[in-house]
Amino acid sequence: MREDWGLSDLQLLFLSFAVVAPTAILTLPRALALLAGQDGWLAALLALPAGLIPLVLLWDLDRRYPGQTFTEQARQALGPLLGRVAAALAVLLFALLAVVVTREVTDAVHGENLPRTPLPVVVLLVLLAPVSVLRQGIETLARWAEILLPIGLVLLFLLVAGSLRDLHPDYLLPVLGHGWTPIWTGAVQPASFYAKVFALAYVLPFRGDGRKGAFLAAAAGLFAGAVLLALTAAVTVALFGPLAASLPQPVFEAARMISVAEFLAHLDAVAVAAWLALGLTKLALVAFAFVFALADLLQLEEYRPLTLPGAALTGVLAAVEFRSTAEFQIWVFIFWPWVALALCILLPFLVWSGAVLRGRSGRRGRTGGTGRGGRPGRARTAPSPSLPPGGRS
Amino acid sequence: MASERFAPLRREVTRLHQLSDLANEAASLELSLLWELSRHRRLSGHPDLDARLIRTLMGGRGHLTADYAERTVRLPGRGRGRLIWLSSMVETKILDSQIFGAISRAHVEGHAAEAKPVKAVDEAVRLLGEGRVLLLMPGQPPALALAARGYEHRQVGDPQKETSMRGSREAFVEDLATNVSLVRRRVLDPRLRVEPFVLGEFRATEVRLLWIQGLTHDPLVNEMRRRLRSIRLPQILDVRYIEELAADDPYTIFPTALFTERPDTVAAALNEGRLAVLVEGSPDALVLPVTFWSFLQAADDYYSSYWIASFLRLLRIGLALLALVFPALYIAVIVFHPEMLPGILAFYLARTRVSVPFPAVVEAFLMELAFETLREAGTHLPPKLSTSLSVVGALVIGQAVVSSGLVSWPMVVVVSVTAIANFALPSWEMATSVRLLRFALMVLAALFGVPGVLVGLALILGHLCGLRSLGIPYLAPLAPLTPHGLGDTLLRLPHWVPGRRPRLLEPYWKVEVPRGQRPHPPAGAGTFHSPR
Repeated sequence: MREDWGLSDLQLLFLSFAVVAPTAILTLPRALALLAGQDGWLAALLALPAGLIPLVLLWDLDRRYPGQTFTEQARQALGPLLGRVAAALAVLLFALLAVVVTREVTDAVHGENLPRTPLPVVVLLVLLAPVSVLRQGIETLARWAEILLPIGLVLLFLLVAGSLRDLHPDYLLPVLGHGWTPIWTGAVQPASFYAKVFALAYVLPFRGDGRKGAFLAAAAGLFAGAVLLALTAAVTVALFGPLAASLPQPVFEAARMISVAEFLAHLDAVAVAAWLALGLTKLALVAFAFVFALADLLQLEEYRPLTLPGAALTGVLAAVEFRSTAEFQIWVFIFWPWVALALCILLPFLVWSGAVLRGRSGRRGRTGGTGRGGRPGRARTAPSPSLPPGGRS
Repeated sequence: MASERFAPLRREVTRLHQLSDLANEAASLELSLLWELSRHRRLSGHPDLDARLIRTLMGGRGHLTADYAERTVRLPGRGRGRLIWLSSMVETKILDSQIFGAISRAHVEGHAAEAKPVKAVDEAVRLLGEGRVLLLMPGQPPALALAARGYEHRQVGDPQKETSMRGSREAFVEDLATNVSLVRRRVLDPRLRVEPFVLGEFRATEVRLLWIQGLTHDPLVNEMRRRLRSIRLPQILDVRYIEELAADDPYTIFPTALFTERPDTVAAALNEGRLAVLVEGSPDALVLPVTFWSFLQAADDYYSSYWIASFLRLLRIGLALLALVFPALYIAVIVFHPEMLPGILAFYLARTRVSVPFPAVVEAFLMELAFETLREAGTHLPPKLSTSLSVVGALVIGQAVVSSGLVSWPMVVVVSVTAIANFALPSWEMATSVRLLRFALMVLAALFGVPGVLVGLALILGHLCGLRSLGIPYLAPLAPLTPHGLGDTLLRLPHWVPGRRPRLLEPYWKVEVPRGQRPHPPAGAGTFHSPR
């Protein structure tokens, strides 16, 4: 194979899809049904700009500071002190995000399948695979996502196809029955999910050399995620009608209702499989952003030593921070979206405006910072990704 | 008392024994010292002296190996020389007719295809051990190594482990030269390179690295050379030794190189830009780099209709998955999610398990272990005894255990289906990996149900995604996705489809199936009768 692997556009598409899609399937349909009623799918689509803003900012930042990670860009655009503060905020954001995702994945598995297993044990189970993949580098993670996501999607579509019989499209009518207000209030939730595409700030520098389409691919992934979310929102409403707002995990409920030829019934295990395939990928990605951003902030050569401590911290926080699923749900619905949305948009915006004020145009050249070559991230994670084909890994 | 009388004698005997042990040790010590000294030392050019040194190295005082043979010969024009050989490795007929004949005709250098000048002592001894005849001569070169090798080895026969319906019926044997010729006869490409390596310390084993220059990515060849050269084992009896020391990930449970006994498989791999390693004494070749999919392919795929071949490939993927997860999934469903099953089936399963005194996990582990025991016993038993084994196995496992209510019928079905699925995998190495991982998944299933199995699968997948074989990603071309290569992994597209081969080494790929090869029979007519 080629000597410079790097991430392909397709892998970036999948990764940005992984930021948005998984959790959206689980909890968002309910939130959308709650806030926007039958127009949830519309809210899901209308919130799309919230994800495009950070992506465009990242794209422009990458143009100005080619091939650098967000931390390095922040240090150069905002100066050493402010830049570090911004980067530290990003680390905090991703740490919280990792905790939230861990808890979400855990809660679903815990509530659905292992109600009598202690929660910390389930947290451990959930963290196992993402951590092991994380330690093998971003390229392994991308390949993993490349296989897991399609599997999850196929399973999900099987579930949707299985419940086609019970769909009542008239639940979706009238469109805009309550005017625009509920749609805007409902859009905040998906918006905060889309904005988390900011996590790609630490993945995009790993794209293969000369790939111009990376940001377009990320945008496409985001769009695909939005479409999927709109679809699940519409399907849940069409399935359950007004009831959708009161079901904690509508997709799981839908899976339970399926009965094909009297043999394939109670497919909640399939739902769990789809959910794990998507959720674990997102968890791995978010954890990568967390650990890598931290390593970058501390100017470590290698992020891997931070993987286990980072995972331990995430796991402990996910297990003890919230006393119950209900408390977590409230936190995640009322408080977290605003924080995530604000940070995900503000952080890149701050750095970007710093870069604009410094008059840093798209020309090449680099100053200060690490003083390393064109793709600084590579040197750090090099051993697995960038070995020539003969290399021992 | 008699014993009193013999006591001094006995003491004396013991002392003598100890002394002889000591002498033995001293001889061994002296010998190892001599070996060290003989490293890279040049032969003197005096046949008598050299012969004495070599004789000492071959056991010398009192320990000379029995097959050591030495003759003094008169070399016309060069004085007296010595011939040394090991009678167990040399064909006497060749020795008599050719070598002695050539010596008497003063024609030594030209007597045989292989007359290799030797300068160093250790090289001379090594060649002697390989079955060459050493001719020590006065002057330069001090010695010639002549080929008169002749010993019994197995004849080329049918493949025993990788059988196929169609295609070649030849398999590798233990003789290296035969194996190389088997491959070269199929490649027929002047660019085929056969690179010699001599690995191992004293038991210097001949190893051959095969590749096609211009087809194989050069960095791959260099890397493989580097890995081969870095091997320093006391002995190399089989290609497995090389696989373990040249692997990319020393801790992986999956095979990172393909073992095959089929020369046609090796030839096909070489034509795809891969490398092959042959080892003297091993009836298997090592092919690398390989991907996960190589282990789900059989030679027959290319010799049979692409419809059935593609179907079989998809089936094998399914079977690999089945062999991996079936018992685990059964445990998970029985223990954690019986509601997933249709009502009647769930009741049936519950009814069969009424008398079983174990939890499902223990039951499954017992049966799996029983089966592994049977299989292990079967592989070590001589064929004559295997019938009694199968009778015992069938009776004990199949009948007695179930009718006594220790194990339920469905569990027997699960274990047997799993075993059959495992047998259906074309690669023994991959099948064993799957076998072992199955137990890990069963534990996960017992602890965490379906999510546990899924997490286990995700872990395995993650490991596969990070694994490499000679630097090539193990899951290529699926992850990283290169759609070009998929035509020969998941499916087997027809031979006329252009560019269907795996593009492992993209920029260096020179062999392409040319376009426009799809057969186009003349339209319309349908027969070859001339129109009236």
